[in-house]
Amino acid sequence: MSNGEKVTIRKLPTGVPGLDEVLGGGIPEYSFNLIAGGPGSGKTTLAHQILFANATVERPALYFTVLGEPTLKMLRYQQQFRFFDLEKVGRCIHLLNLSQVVLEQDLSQVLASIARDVDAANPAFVVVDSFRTVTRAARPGEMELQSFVQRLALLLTSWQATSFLVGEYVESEMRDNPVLTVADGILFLTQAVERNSIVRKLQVVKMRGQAPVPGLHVFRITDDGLQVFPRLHVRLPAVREAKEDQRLPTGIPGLDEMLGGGIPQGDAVLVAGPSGAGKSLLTTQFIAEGASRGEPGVIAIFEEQIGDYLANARTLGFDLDAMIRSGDVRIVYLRPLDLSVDETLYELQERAAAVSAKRVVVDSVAGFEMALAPTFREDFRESLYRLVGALTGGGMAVLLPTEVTESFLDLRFSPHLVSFLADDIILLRYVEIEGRLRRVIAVVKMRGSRHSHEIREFEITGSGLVVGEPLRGYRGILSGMPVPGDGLTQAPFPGLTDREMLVLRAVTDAEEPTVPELARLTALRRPALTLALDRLVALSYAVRVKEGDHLVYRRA
Amino acid sequence: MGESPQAVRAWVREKLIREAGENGPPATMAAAAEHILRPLSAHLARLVGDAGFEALLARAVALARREVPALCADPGGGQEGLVQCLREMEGEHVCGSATAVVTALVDLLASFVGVDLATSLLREAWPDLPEMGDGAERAGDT
Repeated sequence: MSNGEKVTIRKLPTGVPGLDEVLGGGIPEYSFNLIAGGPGSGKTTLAHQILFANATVERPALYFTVLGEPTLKMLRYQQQFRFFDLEKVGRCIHLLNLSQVVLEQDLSQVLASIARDVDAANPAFVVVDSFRTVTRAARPGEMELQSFVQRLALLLTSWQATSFLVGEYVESEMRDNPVLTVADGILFLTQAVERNSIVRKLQVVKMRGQAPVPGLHVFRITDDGLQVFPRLHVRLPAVREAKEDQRLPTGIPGLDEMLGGGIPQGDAVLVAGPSGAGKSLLTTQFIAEGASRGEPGVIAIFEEQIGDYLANARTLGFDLDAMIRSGDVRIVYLRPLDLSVDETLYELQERAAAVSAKRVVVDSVAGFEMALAPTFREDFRESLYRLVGALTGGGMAVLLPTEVTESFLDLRFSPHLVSFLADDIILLRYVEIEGRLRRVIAVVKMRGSRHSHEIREFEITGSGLVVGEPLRGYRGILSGMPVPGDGLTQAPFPGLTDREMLVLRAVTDAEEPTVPELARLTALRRPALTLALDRLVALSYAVRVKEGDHLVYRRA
Repeated sequence: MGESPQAVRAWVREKLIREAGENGPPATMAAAAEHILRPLSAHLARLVGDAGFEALLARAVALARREVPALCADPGGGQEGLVQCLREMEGEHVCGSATAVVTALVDLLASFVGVDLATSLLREAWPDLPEMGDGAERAGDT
């Protein structure tokens, strides 16, 4: 008799962008579902959106309203959404008011009333909104409620209806509730207010017969209704193992040379520098170079409006408008101030997929942080990690301009402590030399890749950023206040003996030397060397650092 | 009520006169009004509930009184209360009052859900309802 064929459960599209993906393909046909959440969380809108996406004359929907929002007001407000098709009301979607039955009769009568309507209309979809008020009005005992829900589920499933109970339930009520036990699927909507922003989230608590994406998924309600931004699984560097060692030239000759030919495909690059140092120019040049090579790019901006951004690019000598028109570049402006990382990712990936982007600029790290809702800002590093991980995992090179406060005392790559997630770091810096402020550029880090260790001067010209020759004859350039020569000959070092000066010079010249290395470099015997080093440390000319099993010395 | 769609107004008046005659007695005219309202109340009550329909009708009566002050201030009792009120009115006002109430009700529904959806809902009760104009969206503002 059996030929081993299992039943195929048809999955119905919800009509909600992103939700089918979260559900594991859609709503299972004939399933009995609960849409739960607090007031204003979007339950009714979600139910409507699903019905308008599915109901037809041949497969109509029954929408039972019960004591909640007056039906006329519901129709008044819901028709503001673009998915609301007036033609479907009364033809494909039939609204019925159950309030009187619920108020005046018991649950068995309510069930009988629903059964009569279902029998008459033969609907493919049924919604009861709000189901909570049905059970509240009847004040049933636990067993009576369990029995009612069970019989309702049986009735609707037997009639081959895919059904949705809409109810105001809060999280604490989710346990030991008979409705939740019987339901095949539970969608739980929440909205959290933090400071001045609201973040809406959806959770598929259960969905029998399929595997939904676990976790909380951010959603937004716009004129188009709900849009869900599935919490993406970050594609970690494993994907990148297969990548070819392809370089994406920046179009800045000297810089490409320093980078060993360009930015490796799939790398995240922190472009750190103070305001006005040339970060925007560098990133724009990177995008423009890509456009000229048939490597499309996407720019995400958070601080400036698109018009202003394009105008700025024009003043820098780049016609981004033309690149947008030709389809080589997309710009996405994101600044609702209650943004989620998933929403940002969705927008960026949509744009990137539309042009098959190879290059992405997230301008800027601080702007992205400010655009996020406070709840995501709290864990900004994770948000940025997920964003960058997903983009680079897709093989795109991502430039992250980040503004750093110019300090002449220390060197910081990012105020966000995000440099750990960057594969490469390009540092732009002002330095004061002979009473003039000059700009220098350095490739501080390139993960797993050879690169120049030079510090080069650069200029901003009408044709973009021009990188010059290495800046020689100075020490301490990245401190912002370099000194000519090796930094020791002219600088006063009071209190040091000739021997101690010799050791200090060796510490400065070598890269974090150990004691044996210093002994070799200075030809000093251990006791004398140790004594000199102790003095240098005591006088704060040098610092002693433990590196693994060794002690190394650095200039203080 | 001056902004109610003239086509709807004429349609209601024509239905009343066709059933009750041009100068029909109040009871006959009230019965004709009841025959117009009955399918509507049955249909709308399924959508908005009995209480919802009664609330709409009460508001329609209040709006109609601006046009026909002789209409009962607060007939109560929903459709039955209105019909009873019409029966007790002087003959010359009954047709005008019934027309004003039904037109106001149509107008009111359109002001909540828009002309298109209102027309669609009303046609299920009154298949021969004529097209409504934009004025219907402004019920209650007069």
